[in-house]
Amino acid sequence: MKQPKKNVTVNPLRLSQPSGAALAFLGIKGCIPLWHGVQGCTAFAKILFIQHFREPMPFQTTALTQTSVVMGGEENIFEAVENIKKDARCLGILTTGVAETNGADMERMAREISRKFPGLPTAVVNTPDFEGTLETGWVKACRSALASFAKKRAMPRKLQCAVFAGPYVTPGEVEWISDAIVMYGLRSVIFPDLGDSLYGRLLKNDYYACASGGTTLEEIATLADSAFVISIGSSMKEIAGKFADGSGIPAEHFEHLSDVREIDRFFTLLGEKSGIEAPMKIVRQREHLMDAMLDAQFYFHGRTACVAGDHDFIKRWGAAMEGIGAKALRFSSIQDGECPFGDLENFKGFAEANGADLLIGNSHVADLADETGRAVVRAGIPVYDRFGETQSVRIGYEGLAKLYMDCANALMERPPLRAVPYKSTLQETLR
Amino acid sequence: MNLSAIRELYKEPDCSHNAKKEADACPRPTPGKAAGGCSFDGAYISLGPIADCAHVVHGPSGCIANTWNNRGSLSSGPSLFRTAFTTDLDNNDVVFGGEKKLFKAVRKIIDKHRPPAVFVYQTCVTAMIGDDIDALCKAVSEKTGTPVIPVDSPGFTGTKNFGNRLAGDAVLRHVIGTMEPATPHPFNVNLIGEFNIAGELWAMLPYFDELGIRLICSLSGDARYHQVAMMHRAQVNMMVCSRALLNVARSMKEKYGTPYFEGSFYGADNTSRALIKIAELMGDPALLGKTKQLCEREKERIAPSLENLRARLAGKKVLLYTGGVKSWSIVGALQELGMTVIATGTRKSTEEDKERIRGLMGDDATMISEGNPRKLLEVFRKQNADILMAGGRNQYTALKARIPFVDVNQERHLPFTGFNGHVRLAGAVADAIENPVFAMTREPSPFGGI
Ligand code: SF4
Repeated sequence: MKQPKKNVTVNPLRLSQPSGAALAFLGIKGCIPLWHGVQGCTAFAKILFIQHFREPMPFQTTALTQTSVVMGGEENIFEAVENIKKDARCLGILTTGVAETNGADMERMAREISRKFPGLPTAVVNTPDFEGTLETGWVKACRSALASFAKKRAMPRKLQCAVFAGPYVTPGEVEWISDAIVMYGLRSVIFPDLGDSLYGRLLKNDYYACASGGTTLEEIATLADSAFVISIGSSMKEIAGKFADGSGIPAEHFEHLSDVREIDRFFTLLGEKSGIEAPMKIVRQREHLMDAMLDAQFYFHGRTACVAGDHDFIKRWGAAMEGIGAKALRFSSIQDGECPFGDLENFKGFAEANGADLLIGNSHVADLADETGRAVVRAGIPVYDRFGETQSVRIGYEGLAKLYMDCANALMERPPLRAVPYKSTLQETLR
Repeated sequence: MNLSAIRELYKEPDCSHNAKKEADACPRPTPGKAAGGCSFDGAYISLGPIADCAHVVHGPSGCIANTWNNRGSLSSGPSLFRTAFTTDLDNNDVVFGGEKKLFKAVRKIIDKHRPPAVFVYQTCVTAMIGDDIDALCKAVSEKTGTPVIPVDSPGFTGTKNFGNRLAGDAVLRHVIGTMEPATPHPFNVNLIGEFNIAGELWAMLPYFDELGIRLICSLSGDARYHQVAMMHRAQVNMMVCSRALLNVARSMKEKYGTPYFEGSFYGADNTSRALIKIAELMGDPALLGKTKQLCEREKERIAPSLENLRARLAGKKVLLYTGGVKSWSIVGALQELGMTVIATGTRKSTEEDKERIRGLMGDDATMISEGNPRKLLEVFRKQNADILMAGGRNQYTALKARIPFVDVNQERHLPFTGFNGHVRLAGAVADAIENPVFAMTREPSPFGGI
């Protein structure tokens, strides 16, 4: 898909690559995401995530200045690590556009850090903001963390399932996946585990300088001992596959858990691996979903839903919309195969040109929907003008039913084809 | 209204329910088998959409509480009709009579809302305790100068259909002929039984404007009181898709000599036929020519979209279950799309409707007179139908059976009238049939259960 080159982006849809990497590091317990860049980049991302997750964000920055940039900036990294090492179990260092432009050699930095700070496991990742998006940053950080923290397969754990989750699986959904696996008598290790760290819980300590929850380093060390690997979200397919191959264990990939067949496959897999029949609860939830879909499908007939965001996100929502008979049009934040892409201004034109009835995307997309009187469902990142996005579960039978109710309600609130009142001029002459 | 007056109304001479059997035109509901509303419901539904009026239900709150504001009849202006006024009788009123309460209620409404008129509906309980709403309405009218129209419609007098007639009787007696248009116009029409569901009237009005035909009143979708009062000035009455208010058309023919015909705006062919018929009855060759041209133009305009939809719908089988005139008007609209209507409901249809159905569907047309869900499903399965089209009441019958469904009664949200409406109807049917949910829900669950 080609897009005429624009010299100015109007209201970006894309979130930056370093923010994705930082978010992934927050899914590792005790990790401090250290931004190698100017403090502004960190601050912006921090505000964005605080508004979205409604949680403090333990981001640190190497706080490059004009002078340190000239000097290469390496000293800033050592100084930062020196200052935060007491608070961290491990570090995730990610670069920004400034550091990259400056030619930071992160591989060498990693070696230096492990020499200087032997007790502090550190993963580094190159994530210039001038390319990629939140999703690609997430994947890069995951790859780096696996390379740095995971261990070779040692003691097989028959009941352990390793789950590699993409960035658009909400903390609530991560918890749901974990519960589902446990329901089958299996043990789950989710990597990265945003559920444990960002679901929003009040804890004993009143201040955490690092990720307060997430996959522990010990758990990451046992990932290779798992009986099988599940990946969710197409962004995670490749890393999960490679990791499973390297460890000699089977892997099963799910593009999303937002359509009936994928969910069926998910529970069938858990049934096979555990030898347990589907719990009554699951059977009933599926029955409910079927009923809910039949009830709600009217609202989707002939309707067009435009979904805007990163690849995983538009894929899962597109599938959900098609599953109930709506026309789904995906709009990517970055160039992505045949998919149309661009900023929010482009998306606005795209939605208009296609007569969109329903927009699906983050709070910026919601503003756009309000502006043009279209129905909207908020999802993705950031959602700052609603509560509950972090905890929302729109996967699985029950979650999918909820998703359809949300969308149907949105469409009901703004009926797309409501007749326009017509006043007859001739009839007016009666009085 | 006394008993003999009610009996008179039962005999609707122009209603072909009556043609064959010499019995009352509106059969008595069968206990244990009755599914429709009461005659109060029918009366309220018929007049309730008159948008600028206040509609007061004289009775216990139960009568109105369950029905108000749930129909899709839309207004382009006033919304007073959407407010449910009821005298909400209590024990005390039942013992001592509710007249005083009604009197006060109507006065208060007039003071506060200044409507051009108030309709007062009688219900079972207030009829039983002997409240005389005729006299009372007259008294309030005289006191306030605002017309207050009694609609004597206690539920126990009969079915919903009969209630429609009671409503017609009320406007005939008290409203029609009481006002005159400010300016004369050569061509005037009334649409009787058009309820502007989902804006269906609005889909037709531009054509009337274009042709220079003035709509005096649509009884009663998006209607105003003065329009009802001026109905006698129309040269033509069209009964739209419903025989419910037939007594209005018939009486107007007797009283004012206004010719009437039954037509429908469902389907491009039906729409053309109806518009041309109106022009014919106006008796003006120039108007007729213009109308024919308009119909040709519109048909040509929608032809490409219809062609597309026809390709998706050809050979698909519909089970249509809807009452009265719709049973034939929609059959025609669907056949225009290349669909086969395997059976149609005739619960509320007359002999004449049935004749037309035979004309459209052939002599062995399956007619379902009793629409219980089991019977519907049985016919559906036996005939291998693709879609059920019926009223909202049967929506969940269809869905529980994983059958595509389109609502053709008042609960729907899309206007299906006119040329664009035909495209919309076709689109709705095609979308419903093709929705992947049906195929998916018919597949067995991998985990047992359904
Ligand atoms: S049957 Fe009588 S009491 Fe019941 S809703 Fe109708 S009018 Fe009211």
